[in-house]
Amino acid sequence: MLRFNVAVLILLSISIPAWSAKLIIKSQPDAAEIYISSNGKPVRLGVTPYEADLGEVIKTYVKSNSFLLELKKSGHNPYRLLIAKTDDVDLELTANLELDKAVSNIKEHDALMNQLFEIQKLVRGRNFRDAILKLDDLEKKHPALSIIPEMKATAYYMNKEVESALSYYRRAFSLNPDNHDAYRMKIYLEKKLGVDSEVQ
Amino acid sequence: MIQSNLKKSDEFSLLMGMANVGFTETQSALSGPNQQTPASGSVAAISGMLHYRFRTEEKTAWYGQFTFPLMASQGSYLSGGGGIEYYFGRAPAKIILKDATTSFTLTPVTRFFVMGGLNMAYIAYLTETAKKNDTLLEIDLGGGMTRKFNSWTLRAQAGIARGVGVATTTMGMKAMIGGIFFLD
Repeated sequence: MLRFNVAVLILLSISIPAWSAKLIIKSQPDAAEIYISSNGKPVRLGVTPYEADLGEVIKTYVKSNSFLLELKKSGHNPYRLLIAKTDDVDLELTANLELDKAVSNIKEHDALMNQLFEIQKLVRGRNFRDAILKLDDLEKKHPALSIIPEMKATAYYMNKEVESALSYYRRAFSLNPDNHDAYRMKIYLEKKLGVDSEVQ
Repeated sequence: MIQSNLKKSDEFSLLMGMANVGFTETQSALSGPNQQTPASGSVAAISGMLHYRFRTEEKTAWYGQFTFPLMASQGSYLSGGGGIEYYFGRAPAKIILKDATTSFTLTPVTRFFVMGGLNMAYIAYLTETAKKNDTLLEIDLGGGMTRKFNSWTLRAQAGIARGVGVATTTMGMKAMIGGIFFLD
């Protein structure tokens, strides 16, 4: 029986076809350039999604005990991972590439402008209540922008809530003293209401 | 490889194979007016095995396993116990790293291991005159391999077990083969 057991194990180990270790690299988003370096200049491996024989990659590119995988995609921060040399494991990497800060800011500003256009449409449609609610939300996210209290003031003014309008024109002017429209409206409403000029 | 946020996966295996247990009755257990010559023989069965591997360290992991008969010719044998496995090579387990930017998985392709443990076992056997059973404490020694394929991982193992019971001593051999489920 022991002879049978040993025979089964030996048979298994030689009859199973060779199954080489795999290197699988994915990224979010796709199509990131993959570079590998090991004590030298980075070499381009391909683009994500990528799959290769890990043993071949190690044999071809890795000359030391570790290697660096680097993923690069335009508009995203580079992603780097240092890995110990190994060829007896399947290695699967999925990297979520972070947006470059400049691109991220542009996207954020773009979204803000879209929202302001939407609010402008609401004001033109005389839907002041919804416009002001949306402006309240935006003001929480962007407390330093003068355009938001200025639009809020305009909505209140068009809704004939002049005192609230003045309060928000004052806030807009205090946030940005170069906001001439807010300044003109502030002076105009202060005269109309007969109140002293006040800069908050 | 990576020093933080690593998780080593536990493994559950479902195996099938052969268990063959030779038994010899102890003379001291046979007494009274019907005392006979101690019987000896063997119980062979196609058996199933549930194997759970956990607490993986650098080279070792703990395991618990349960062997049960699927088809038996004469008598029956089942056992359950636990022990420790020692893995050769640098990758004893599937390793997973997950954080906000990275999902990184290392799955060993081929592993070889040796194992040793203790079992509680039950054997039912036939003598010329009676059907008897006994409860045993077994020392289990063995080894095996695992091999990863595209969508599944094979586990094969074989071992011997020396058992001591109230009425018998046993020497058993097991060879099992099956699949591993990684419990990520």
